Amino acid sequence: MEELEDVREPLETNCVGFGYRLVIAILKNARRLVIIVFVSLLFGLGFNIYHPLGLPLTLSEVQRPGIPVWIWKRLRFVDAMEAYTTLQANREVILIDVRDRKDYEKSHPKGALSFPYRGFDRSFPEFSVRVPSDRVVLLLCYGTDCALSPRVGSRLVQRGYTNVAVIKKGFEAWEKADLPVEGSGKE
Amino acid sequence: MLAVKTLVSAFRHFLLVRWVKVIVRFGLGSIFLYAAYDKLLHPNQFAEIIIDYEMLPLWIINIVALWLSALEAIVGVCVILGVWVRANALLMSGLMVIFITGIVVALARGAEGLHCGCFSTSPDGEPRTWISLWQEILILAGCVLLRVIHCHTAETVREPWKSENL
Repeated sequence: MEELEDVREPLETNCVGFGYRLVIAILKNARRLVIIVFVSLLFGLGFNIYHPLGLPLTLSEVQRPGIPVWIWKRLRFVDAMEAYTTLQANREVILIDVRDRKDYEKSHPKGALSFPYRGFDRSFPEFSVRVPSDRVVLLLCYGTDCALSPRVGSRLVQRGYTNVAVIKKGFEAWEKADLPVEGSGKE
Repeated sequence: MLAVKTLVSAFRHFLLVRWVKVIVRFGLGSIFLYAAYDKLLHPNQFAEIIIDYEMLPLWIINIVALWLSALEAIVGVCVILGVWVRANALLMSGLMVIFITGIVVALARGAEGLHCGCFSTSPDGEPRTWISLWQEILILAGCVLLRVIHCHTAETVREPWKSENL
């Protein structure tokens, strides 16, 4: 037992020493650390102003991070009922479900096509052959916090699609509005 | 004769330490600059990678994406130029600890295979695996080494506990 304690003591002293040295090192370099962090923040934000893929610094209710300002200007947002009315009025409109395949198979809006975000790059060549770039495309994902449909919308706009709209609050809003759904219903 | 030998040995030691310092500085600085390059070019893709880590609230992700890539670039340049190396080495170590924590948490959640975001933002590159974790740990070790060799001047070797030598 005594031997064990003998071994433990220097180890504990070393750990305390390391923590103490680290805190002192941070305190001693605090001024420089703050300057570097502040300059990098200014550089990052300044660079963003002139960057062709500049990001918005504040997000509105429907916006999600990772999508450049110029794309937000071209993406439209519609609510579920408006999307359904558009679909009924025009048979040329395409409704795309960007959720994972298993969720799509379980339940999806009636007439929606599956185009999962995870396989976008793999599936896009086939999609571009079947869907002309001027066609109205409605995108739908899980719900309020889902960032997948704006992300797919962003990729479609970058690839030349001119009429892309995202359904606000996604499938959650579609079900809430009691709009027609289909699917296996199995988990 | 002994004095000459000691002098030669001291000179060799001086050269060795100096060259090790330069090599570690250039190596680490280049790694950080390389990592920052693609993120600065594609901040949108880097922000999407941060979203997939599911560790930050959505409203702050764009700012973090812009700031992190700029910070990596600035510490990389400073370390290569030899400006405030100790402070930059501390920052680099802190950054690596944050990245390692992110990868460990994501892997523990079972989010293996998503994008690591370590050196590239391309959708095809760098899936997040345990290998990316070891790669980050290796860079952290380099940052600690950089900090240690820049603290170990003649005085600090004699009295490493003194606060002015930290």
